[in-house]
Amino acid sequence: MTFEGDLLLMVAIVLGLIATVITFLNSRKLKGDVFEKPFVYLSVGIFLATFSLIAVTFFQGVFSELTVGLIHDISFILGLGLMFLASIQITKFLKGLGSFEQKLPKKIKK
Amino acid sequence: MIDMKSSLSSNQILLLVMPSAEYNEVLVDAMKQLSGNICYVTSNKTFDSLKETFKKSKVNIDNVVFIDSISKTLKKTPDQADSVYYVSSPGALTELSLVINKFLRHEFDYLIFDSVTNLAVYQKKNMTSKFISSLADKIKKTKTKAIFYALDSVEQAWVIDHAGMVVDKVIKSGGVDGVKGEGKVIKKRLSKKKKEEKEV
Repeated sequence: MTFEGDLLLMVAIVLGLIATVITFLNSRKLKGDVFEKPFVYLSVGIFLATFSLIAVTFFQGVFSELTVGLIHDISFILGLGLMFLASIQITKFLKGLGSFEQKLPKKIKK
Repeated sequence: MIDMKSSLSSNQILLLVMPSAEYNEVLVDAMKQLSGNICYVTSNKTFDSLKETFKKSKVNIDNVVFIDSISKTLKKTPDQADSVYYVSSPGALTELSLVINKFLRHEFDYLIFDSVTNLAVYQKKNMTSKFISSLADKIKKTKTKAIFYALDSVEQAWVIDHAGMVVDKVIKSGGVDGVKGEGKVIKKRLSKKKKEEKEV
Protein backbone atom coordinates (compact mmCIF):
# COMPACT_ATOMS: atom_id res chain seq x y z
CA MET A 1 0.00 0.00 0.00
CA THR A 2 1.36 3.45 -0.88
CA PHE A 3 0.44 6.70 0.82
CA GLU A 4 1.45 8.87 -2.14
CA GLY A 5 -1.24 11.42 -2.91
CA ASP A 6 -2.82 11.14 0.55
CA LEU A 7 -3.83 14.76 1.23
CA LEU A 8 -3.84 14.53 5.03
CA LEU A 9 -0.35 13.02 5.03
CA MET A 10 0.88 15.83 2.74
CA VAL A 11 -0.58 18.39 5.13
CA ALA A 12 1.18 16.66 8.04
CA ILE A 13 4.51 16.70 6.16
CA VAL A 14 4.20 20.38 5.24
CA LEU A 15 3.26 21.28 8.82
CA GLY A 16 6.19 19.23 10.14
CA LEU A 17 8.65 21.00 7.82
CA ILE A 18 7.30 24.44 8.74
CA ALA A 19 7.53 23.58 12.46
CA THR A 20 11.12 22.37 11.94
CA VAL A 21 12.19 25.63 10.29
CA ILE A 22 10.43 27.85 12.84
CA THR A 23 11.82 25.92 15.83
CA PHE A 24 15.33 25.99 14.39
CA LEU A 25 15.15 29.73 13.67
CA ASN A 26 13.96 30.31 17.24
CA SER A 27 16.88 28.27 18.56
CA ARG A 28 19.25 30.67 16.76
CA LYS A 29 17.55 33.59 18.49
CA LEU A 30 18.24 31.90 21.82
CA LYS A 31 22.00 31.61 21.26
CA GLY A 32 23.81 31.23 24.59
CA ASP A 33 20.51 30.71 26.39
CA VAL A 34 19.70 27.62 28.42
CA PHE A 35 16.90 26.95 25.91
CA GLU A 36 19.17 26.92 22.86
CA LYS A 37 20.01 23.22 23.01
CA PRO A 38 16.45 22.03 23.76
CA PHE A 39 15.19 24.05 20.80
CA VAL A 40 17.82 22.52 18.50
CA TYR A 41 16.91 19.02 19.75
CA LEU A 42 13.24 19.82 19.27
CA SER A 43 13.73 21.04 15.70
CA VAL A 44 15.83 18.00 14.72
CA GLY A 45 13.31 15.76 16.50
CA ILE A 46 10.38 17.26 14.60
CA PHE A 47 12.35 16.95 11.36
CA LEU A 48 13.09 13.25 11.95
CA ALA A 49 9.45 12.51 12.84
CA THR A 50 8.41 14.33 9.65
CA PHE A 51 11.09 12.46 7.70
CA SER A 52 9.52 9.18 8.82
CA LEU A 53 6.29 10.34 7.15
CA ILE A 54 8.22 11.40 4.04
CA ALA A 55 9.80 7.92 3.91
CA VAL A 56 6.49 6.05 3.91
CA THR A 57 4.99 8.49 1.40
CA PHE A 58 7.70 8.81 -1.21
CA PHE A 59 10.27 6.01 -0.71
CA GLN A 60 7.98 3.04 -1.17
CA GLY A 61 8.51 2.86 -4.91
CA VAL A 62 12.25 3.38 -4.60
CA PHE A 63 13.31 1.05 -1.74
CA SER A 64 12.08 -2.31 -0.57
CA GLU A 65 9.25 -2.45 1.96
CA LEU A 66 11.66 -3.63 4.66
CA THR A 67 14.08 -0.71 4.06
CA VAL A 68 11.26 1.82 4.06
CA GLY A 69 9.90 0.30 7.27
CA LEU A 70 13.33 0.52 8.89
CA ILE A 71 13.89 4.16 7.80
CA HIS A 72 10.41 5.05 9.08
CA ASP A 73 10.81 3.34 12.45
CA ILE A 74 14.36 4.50 13.16
CA SER A 75 13.76 8.15 12.22
CA PHE A 76 10.49 8.17 14.15
CA ILE A 77 12.10 6.71 17.29
CA LEU A 78 15.13 9.03 17.03
CA GLY A 79 12.85 12.02 16.49
CA LEU A 80 10.73 11.24 19.52
CA GLY A 81 13.90 10.53 21.53
CA LEU A 82 15.31 13.98 20.71
CA MET A 83 12.03 15.66 21.64
CA PHE A 84 12.11 13.74 24.93
CA LEU A 85 15.70 14.93 25.53
CA ALA A 86 14.60 18.52 24.89
CA SER A 87 11.78 18.22 27.39
CA ILE A 88 14.15 16.67 29.96
CA GLN A 89 16.53 19.64 29.63
CA ILE A 90 13.73 22.18 30.01
CA THR A 91 12.35 20.28 33.01
CA LYS A 92 15.84 20.17 34.57
CA PHE A 93 16.17 23.94 34.26
CA LEU A 94 12.70 24.58 35.69
CA LYS A 95 13.30 22.14 38.56
CA GLY A 96 16.64 23.80 39.41
CA LEU A 97 15.04 27.23 39.39
CA GLY A 98 12.12 25.92 41.43
CA SER A 99 14.38 24.41 44.09
CA PHE A 100 16.31 27.70 44.41
CA GLU A 101 13.05 29.60 44.60
CA GLN A 102 11.90 27.39 47.46
CA LYS A 103 14.96 28.43 49.48
CA LEU A 104 14.21 32.13 48.93
CA PRO A 105 11.65 32.66 51.75
CA LYS A 106 14.30 31.55 54.30
CA LYS A 107 16.76 34.02 52.84
CA ILE A 108 14.39 36.97 52.69
CA LYS A 109 12.91 37.01 56.15
CA LYS A 110 10.50 39.94 56.45
CA MET B 1 27.19 60.30 47.27
CA ILE B 2 23.74 59.88 45.73
CA ASP B 3 20.79 59.76 48.08
CA MET B 4 19.10 56.60 46.80
CA LYS B 5 16.57 56.26 49.57
CA SER B 6 14.96 59.66 49.07
CA SER B 7 14.96 59.17 45.30
CA LEU B 8 13.34 55.77 45.69
CA SER B 9 10.74 57.02 48.13
CA SER B 10 8.96 58.91 45.36
CA ASN B 11 10.02 56.81 42.37
CA GLN B 12 9.78 53.06 41.86
CA ILE B 13 12.47 52.64 39.21
CA LEU B 14 15.67 54.64 39.02
CA LEU B 15 18.26 54.67 36.28
CA LEU B 16 21.66 55.50 37.66
CA VAL B 17 24.09 56.55 34.96
CA MET B 18 27.69 56.58 36.13
CA PRO B 19 31.15 56.88 34.66
CA SER B 20 33.10 53.63 34.84
CA ALA B 21 35.65 55.27 37.17
CA GLU B 22 32.97 55.71 39.80
CA TYR B 23 31.43 52.28 39.34
CA ASN B 24 32.86 50.54 42.43
CA GLU B 25 32.21 53.54 44.62
CA VAL B 26 28.56 53.85 43.57
CA LEU B 27 28.07 50.09 43.89
CA VAL B 28 29.15 50.03 47.52
CA ASP B 29 27.46 53.30 48.31
CA ALA B 30 24.08 52.10 47.04
CA MET B 31 24.29 48.84 48.95
CA LYS B 32 25.16 50.67 52.16
CA GLN B 33 22.15 52.92 51.81
CA LEU B 34 19.57 50.26 51.05
CA SER B 35 18.21 48.25 53.93
CA GLY B 36 15.90 45.31 53.40
CA ASN B 37 15.85 42.36 51.06
CA ILE B 38 17.72 42.95 47.86
CA CYS B 39 17.78 41.00 44.61
CA TYR B 40 21.01 41.88 42.86
CA VAL B 41 21.21 41.01 39.15
CA THR B 42 24.73 41.24 37.83
CA SER B 43 25.92 41.12 34.25
CA ASN B 44 29.10 43.05 34.93
CA LYS B 45 31.09 41.65 37.85
CA THR B 46 30.97 38.03 38.91
CA PHE B 47 29.35 37.06 42.20
CA ASP B 48 32.76 36.25 43.72
CA SER B 49 34.14 39.60 42.71
CA LEU B 50 31.08 41.45 44.05
CA LYS B 51 31.25 39.49 47.29
CA GLU B 52 34.87 40.50 47.72
CA THR B 53 34.13 44.17 46.94
CA PHE B 54 31.30 44.27 49.46
CA LYS B 55 33.33 42.40 52.05
CA LYS B 56 36.18 44.90 51.74
CA SER B 57 33.74 47.76 52.24
CA LYS B 58 32.03 45.95 55.11
CA VAL B 59 28.66 45.80 53.40
CA ASN B 60 26.32 43.24 54.87
CA ILE B 61 25.09 40.91 52.13
CA ASP B 62 23.13 38.47 54.30
CA ASN B 63 19.87 39.84 52.96
CA VAL B 64 20.98 39.88 49.33
CA VAL B 65 20.17 37.24 46.72
CA PHE B 66 22.30 37.41 43.59
CA ILE B 67 21.49 36.48 40.01
CA ASP B 68 24.86 36.15 38.31
CA SER B 69 24.73 36.09 34.53
CA ILE B 70 28.43 36.58 33.86
CA SER B 71 30.24 33.77 35.75
CA LYS B 72 29.02 30.99 33.44
CA THR B 73 30.55 32.75 30.44
CA LEU B 74 33.96 32.89 32.14
CA LYS B 75 34.35 29.61 34.01
CA LYS B 76 32.64 26.35 34.84
CA THR B 77 29.96 27.21 37.35
CA PRO B 78 27.13 25.23 38.94
CA ASP B 79 23.54 26.28 38.32
CA GLN B 80 23.18 27.59 41.84
CA ALA B 81 24.95 28.07 45.15
CA ASP B 82 24.05 29.61 48.47
CA SER B 83 22.44 33.05 47.78
CA VAL B 84 23.32 32.99 44.11
CA TYR B 85 21.60 31.70 40.99
CA TYR B 86 23.72 31.51 37.85
CA VAL B 87 22.29 32.35 34.42
CA SER B 88 24.00 31.16 31.19
CA SER B 89 25.04 34.57 29.85
CA PRO B 90 24.03 38.24 29.92
CA GLY B 91 22.69 37.64 26.42
CA ALA B 92 20.36 34.87 27.63
CA LEU B 93 17.50 37.30 28.01
CA THR B 94 14.72 34.69 27.99
CA GLU B 95 16.38 32.81 30.84
CA LEU B 96 17.17 36.02 32.72
CA SER B 97 13.62 37.23 32.32
CA LEU B 98 12.20 33.93 33.60
CA VAL B 99 14.49 33.92 36.63
CA ILE B 100 13.82 37.58 37.54
CA ASN B 101 10.11 37.00 37.09
CA LYS B 102 10.20 34.11 39.57
CA PHE B 103 12.24 36.13 42.06
CA LEU B 104 9.98 39.17 41.84
CA ARG B 105 7.11 37.08 43.17
CA HIS B 106 8.91 36.99 46.51
CA GLU B 107 8.43 40.71 47.03
CA PHE B 108 11.99 41.86 47.48
CA ASP B 109 12.30 45.38 48.81
CA TYR B 110 14.82 46.31 46.14
CA LEU B 111 16.05 45.01 42.83
CA ILE B 112 19.39 46.20 41.51
CA PHE B 113 20.17 45.58 37.86
CA ASP B 114 23.89 45.91 37.18
CA SER B 115 24.03 47.00 34.37
CA VAL B 116 21.70 47.59 31.46
CA THR B 117 24.51 48.89 29.24
CA ASN B 118 26.36 45.59 29.56
CA LEU B 119 23.40 43.70 28.05
CA ALA B 120 23.99 45.54 24.79
CA VAL B 121 27.42 43.94 24.47
CA TYR B 122 25.83 40.47 24.33
CA GLN B 123 22.53 41.13 22.57
CA LYS B 124 21.02 42.97 19.62
CA LYS B 125 19.57 46.45 20.03
CA ASN B 126 15.89 45.55 19.66
CA MET B 127 16.14 42.54 21.99
CA THR B 128 17.86 44.61 24.68
CA SER B 129 15.29 47.38 24.40
CA LYS B 130 12.42 44.88 24.59
CA PHE B 131 13.97 43.24 27.64
CA ILE B 132 14.42 46.54 29.49
CA SER B 133 10.83 47.58 28.75
CA SER B 134 9.46 44.21 29.83
CA LEU B 135 11.55 44.22 33.01
CA ALA B 136 10.38 47.71 33.94
CA ASP B 137 6.80 46.65 33.27
CA LYS B 138 7.15 43.58 35.50
CA ILE B 139 8.65 45.64 38.32
CA LYS B 140 5.82 48.16 38.05
CA LYS B 141 3.35 45.38 38.78
CA THR B 142 5.09 44.64 42.10
CA LYS B 143 5.97 46.68 45.17
CA THR B 144 9.69 46.16 44.62
CA LYS B 145 11.76 49.31 44.08
CA ALA B 146 14.43 49.02 41.42
CA ILE B 147 17.70 50.64 40.48
CA PHE B 148 19.10 50.09 37.00
CA TYR B 149 22.79 50.84 36.68
CA ALA B 150 24.18 52.12 33.42
CA LEU B 151 27.76 52.91 32.55
CA ASP B 152 28.14 56.20 30.75
CA SER B 153 29.59 55.35 27.34
CA VAL B 154 29.06 56.75 23.88
CA GLU B 155 28.66 53.30 22.26
CA GLN B 156 25.79 52.37 24.54
CA ALA B 157 24.13 55.78 24.71
CA TRP B 158 21.04 54.36 23.01
CA VAL B 159 20.50 51.92 25.91
CA ILE B 160 20.57 54.81 28.36
CA ASP B 161 18.17 56.75 26.15
CA HIS B 162 15.77 53.82 25.97
CA ALA B 163 16.02 52.90 29.64
CA GLY B 164 15.56 56.58 30.50
CA MET B 165 12.14 56.44 28.87
CA VAL B 166 10.88 53.45 30.84
CA VAL B 167 12.15 54.36 34.32
CA ASP B 168 10.68 56.97 36.67
CA LYS B 169 13.81 58.96 37.25
CA VAL B 170 17.27 59.21 35.77
CA ILE B 171 20.20 60.21 37.93
CA LYS B 172 23.57 60.91 36.44
CA SER B 173 26.38 60.30 38.85
CA GLY B 174 29.14 62.86 38.48
CA GLY B 175 26.98 65.95 38.85
CA VAL B 176 25.20 66.10 35.50
CA ASP B 177 21.43 66.32 35.27
CA GLY B 178 19.40 63.27 34.35
CA VAL B 179 17.76 62.73 30.98
CA LYS B 180 14.48 63.88 32.45
CA GLY B 181 16.24 66.88 34.03
CA GLU B 182 15.74 65.62 37.54
CA GLY B 183 19.18 65.33 39.03
CA LYS B 184 17.85 67.22 42.05
CA VAL B 185 19.76 65.15 44.55
CA ILE B 186 23.05 65.75 42.84
CA LYS B 187 22.23 69.42 42.30
CA LYS B 188 21.51 69.89 45.98
CA ARG B 189 24.73 68.21 46.96
CA LEU B 190 26.73 70.21 44.44
CA SER B 191 25.33 73.54 45.59
CA LYS B 192 25.95 72.51 49.21
CA LYS B 193 29.52 71.61 48.34
CA LYS B 194 30.03 74.93 46.52
CA LYS B 195 28.70 76.81 49.52
CA GLU B 196 31.04 74.95 51.81
CA GLU B 197 33.98 75.68 49.51
CA LYS B 198 33.08 79.38 49.43
CA GLU B 199 32.88 79.48 53.21
CA VAL B 200 36.32 77.88 53.45
